[in-house]
Amino acid sequence: MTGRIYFRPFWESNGNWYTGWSPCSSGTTTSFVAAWRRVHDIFTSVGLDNSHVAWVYSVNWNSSCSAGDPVNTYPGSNYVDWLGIDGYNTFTGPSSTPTDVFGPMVSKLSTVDPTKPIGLDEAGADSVFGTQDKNQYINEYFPYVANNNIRMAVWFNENFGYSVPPGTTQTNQWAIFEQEYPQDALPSYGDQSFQYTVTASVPNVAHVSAHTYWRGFSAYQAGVQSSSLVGSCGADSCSPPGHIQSTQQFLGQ
Amino acid sequence: MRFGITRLMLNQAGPTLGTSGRFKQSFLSCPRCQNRRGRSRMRAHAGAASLTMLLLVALLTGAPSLARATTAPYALLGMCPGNDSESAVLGDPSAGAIQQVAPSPAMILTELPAFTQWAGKGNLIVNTYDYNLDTTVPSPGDGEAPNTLLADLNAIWAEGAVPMLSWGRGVDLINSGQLDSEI
Repeated sequence: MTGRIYFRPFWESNGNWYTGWSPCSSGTTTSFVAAWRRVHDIFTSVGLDNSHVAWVYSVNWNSSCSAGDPVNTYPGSNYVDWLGIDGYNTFTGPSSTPTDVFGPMVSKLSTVDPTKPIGLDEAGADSVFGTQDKNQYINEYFPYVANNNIRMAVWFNENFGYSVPPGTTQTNQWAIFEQEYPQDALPSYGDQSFQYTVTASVPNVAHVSAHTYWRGFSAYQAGVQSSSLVGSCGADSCSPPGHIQSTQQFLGQ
Repeated sequence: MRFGITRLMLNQAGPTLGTSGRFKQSFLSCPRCQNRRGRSRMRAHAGAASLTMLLLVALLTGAPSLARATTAPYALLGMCPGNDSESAVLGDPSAGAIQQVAPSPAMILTELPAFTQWAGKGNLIVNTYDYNLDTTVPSPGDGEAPNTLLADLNAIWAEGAVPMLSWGRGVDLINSGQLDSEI
């Protein structure tokens, strides 16, 4: 049995912010595709086929330029196992639904390569405009995944902006489950408090603390319970630890 | 995700190359996979049985949605670990530098089990970002030296999840062959 990994090179290449690989800021469509294929060929030359490494072609929800658009930069079916999209609700414009954020690119990718599964590789909704709004977006997110044949749903559980001065409006607070740091006087979002307690000792896994304190968004907790979502049982709660994932699941088939 | 400028810490180090094969070998040594095969078969069999029943019912009832019955009824759940001030974006990959948002092994081992206990279901996929693939080269900044890529991957595997590694370097460097040994 072997370890597996999803490999997502050159993500959001249709945006103009990753200057190293985006045709929207430097380079060309041709050089992008050539680089993708070169890296792919190096991996496969040492035996890392798609039973070990699944190649994820992942783009932003919209394109900054035509040259970087998936219709021009898709490396080809032989070099890709998954299609993916990153998209966020910042609540700074008109109220957005997951259909608004992801729908157009899902349609486009479905035509670029209809044979590949589609995932939402980064999804998020900002916390700073209210728990209710964020929970509402999350309540729409899970049905969107289930009803649009989305085969992978990855939440960007990261908060940025901690280094801005106190009192400044902080944005990009994407997390739906965050550890509380009361000693830092940082805001904690979410409508649920949770105390995590280590329940089992797992060999070779050294948990840093027996008790930690967290906050979560109830809509996400409820959405995860959907039977349409396959998750890990986690090392602490499984006997034996670890999770099943067949090659078919791994490749979204 | 375009990472916030407030967390951007530039690193002027140039590209670092190496010939380590440890990254590649890491795929071949998942520490906790042995127990998964049997249960995987059980799930596959259960799924096949359910699909058969669904098709049978659809045929018997004349339901028009046979196409939906052929669609696998699941999505894989995942998360990008983080939410504390340890994460950092380092360098400009266009200049060959290493960019890294570092979910340290400690962060992974803290967040994933806690999430599983809270949500009642764990993350099958865990995103990590932008490492130098040569694990013999220390990662600059954020206190992580040497490069913790393998430790992070092992931490994710140990939690029963599969890592999704987001990686990018300058395409011109790649196409010129300068990064072949790292890759």
